[in-house]
Amino acid sequence: MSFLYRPQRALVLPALAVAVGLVVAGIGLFRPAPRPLMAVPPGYVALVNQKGILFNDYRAQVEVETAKPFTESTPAERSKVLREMINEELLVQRAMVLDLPETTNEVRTNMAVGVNAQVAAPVLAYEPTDAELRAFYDKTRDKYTTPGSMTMHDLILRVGGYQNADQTTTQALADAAEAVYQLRAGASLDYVEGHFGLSSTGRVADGGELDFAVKLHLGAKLYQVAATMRDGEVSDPIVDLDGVHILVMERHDFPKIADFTTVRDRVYLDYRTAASNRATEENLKVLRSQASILIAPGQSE
Amino acid sequence: MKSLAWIALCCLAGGAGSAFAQNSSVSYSTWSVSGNMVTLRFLLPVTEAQRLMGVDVPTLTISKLEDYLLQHDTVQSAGGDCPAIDQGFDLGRVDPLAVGSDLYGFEIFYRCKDPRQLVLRNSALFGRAPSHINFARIQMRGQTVEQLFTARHQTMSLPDDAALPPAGLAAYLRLGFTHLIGSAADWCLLLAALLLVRHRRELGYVFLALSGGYVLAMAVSTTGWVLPRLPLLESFMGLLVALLGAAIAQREVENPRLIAMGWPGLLLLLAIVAVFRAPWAIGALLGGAVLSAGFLVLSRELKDRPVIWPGLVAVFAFLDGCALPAVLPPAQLPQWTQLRIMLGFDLGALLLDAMLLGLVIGVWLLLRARRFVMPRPLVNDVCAAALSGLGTFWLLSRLG
Repeated sequence: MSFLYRPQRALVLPALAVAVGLVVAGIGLFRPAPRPLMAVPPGYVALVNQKGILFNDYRAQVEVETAKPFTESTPAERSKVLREMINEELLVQRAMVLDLPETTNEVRTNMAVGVNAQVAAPVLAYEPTDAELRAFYDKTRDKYTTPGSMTMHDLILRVGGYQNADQTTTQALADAAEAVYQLRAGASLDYVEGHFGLSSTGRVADGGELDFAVKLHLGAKLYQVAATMRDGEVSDPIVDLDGVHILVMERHDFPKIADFTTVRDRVYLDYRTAASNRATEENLKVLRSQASILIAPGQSE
Repeated sequence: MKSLAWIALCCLAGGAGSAFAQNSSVSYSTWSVSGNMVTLRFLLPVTEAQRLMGVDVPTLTISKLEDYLLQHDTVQSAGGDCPAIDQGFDLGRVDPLAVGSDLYGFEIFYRCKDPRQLVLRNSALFGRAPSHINFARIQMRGQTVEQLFTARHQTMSLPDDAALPPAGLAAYLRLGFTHLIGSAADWCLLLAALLLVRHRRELGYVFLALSGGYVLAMAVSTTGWVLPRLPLLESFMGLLVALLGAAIAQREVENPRLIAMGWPGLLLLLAIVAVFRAPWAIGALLGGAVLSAGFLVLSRELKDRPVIWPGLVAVFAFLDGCALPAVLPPAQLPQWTQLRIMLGFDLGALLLDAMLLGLVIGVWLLLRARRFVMPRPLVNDVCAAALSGLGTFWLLSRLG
């Protein structure tokens, strides 16, 4: 306490202020310098330009390249692997300096794939139970259908073409309606074809075709009608660009939804793909929320 | 008083121009010679590049710099000019490198018809900043040699059958000389120190303080424990100049308490503003405020004894000595080379300081012999105003 009354305090306190000021300013003016590593830290096998190569990676690489446990590999084999890993690290560092991720499409693609794989890894490490797979199957049941097939005939009464140049659509429609009546009454195809001048378009094979092939061959308008027809049914006359069509369905096997047990493997793969996609989307959502993205006027994404 | 204010303002305006000259202008190059190929890696601080190109958009800066470097960095040999080769893909002749957020990097490959009598030429930036320094490393025949490209030394001939000698101590001495000549803050500090000198022997204190500061800077830099924050460092040097100006003014005014409270108060206010505008500068400003308060009170109490102000001169010299190590890391120089550069630089600066002090003593002796009496109060007032003004300007402008 006597210090407070001593005359020297007039000097001591300002001197203290000078010292404190210098220390505080010094802390602001300087920052700790990064310390270069002079020895390989534990857990690493080498340092390349201060970048470490993990011992675990080295061990795994030795085992992959020699196809035997690490402890059984020879010093020469280990040296060879280490040399390769150091070379690879040097090349990767050079690639970073050359800014390959910004300039080379292949590198960019691989990096994007790598990030997605890393994000998905924890999700994919989880093995789904059968109950979860079944729930997923129930939600996406439509994806697991067996393809349907049709055995059918596509008959036509041409209009304005070279075969019946004078026939109008109205006349053809009237003839076709009569032909449909006859067919539904049990008349044979040959009879109806001969009597009304109908001919097969040849678009669909006689032996039957899968649904997608029928759609491809008939076109959307006729397929729409065929898709609803049952075995033995005869369609109403359908006017199309080339004439009036009549579809005669011999046999129609509709697409069926496969049961869970038969498509379990597919469900499993789809489940994992869906989980991976969800993880990627979540990651992108986070990245976008943290990013500053400016888009040029007139452009949109 | 009115005329005094005008003089101070004129000094301030004159000094403002040179204020920017203080900013160090440096770049880095590595020339690797292998057979008939010469690879140049050129690094340039982003701030320097933007100042040079006057463009803020990185891609435009890079594009302009590429053309600029092709024009200003060349290699010649016995077979004539060595052209920069196209590096394939869509890179062209200059490959931009990714070398960190505060540096631009470029790589150019030169192919010579005849690899003998190689001459490297680097004239980049010297036309725009005569004090510019390029720290160069020449790699050939398995050896790496450190050299300097300066405005006076823009070409380098590589011997065909002998090792290239590294830049000598004289080159680094020149660096210190050039730095001091071009540094308005150093001149102001010397002026302030001279104005505070009351007796001839105190000139020795000034020299001792400068030497101590530079030696301490070298010692601290050699440990490699800390790195200075360069813009803040230069800003703080402005603060010290202003503080010395305030100390001079304090001797002359009737109410020294006003200065002893006003200047630290202003710094405290700046520290508060810095909380919102420049948080990284808070420590330096707060420290500066406390230091100023203590220093001004001590100066008032001990005004006839040169105890405290040489310490401030030493701090300034210490910071000045630390400015060079702050720009050396990208050059990736070996520790020994860095030490040699700092030694040469500090010795050069110190030698010029000593010469200037000697000159002042000479002039003073001459004037005394002729019985010329200086109007000291007037000189003190004008200089104190100019120093405070300039110092404050540097403090604020370098804070960004």
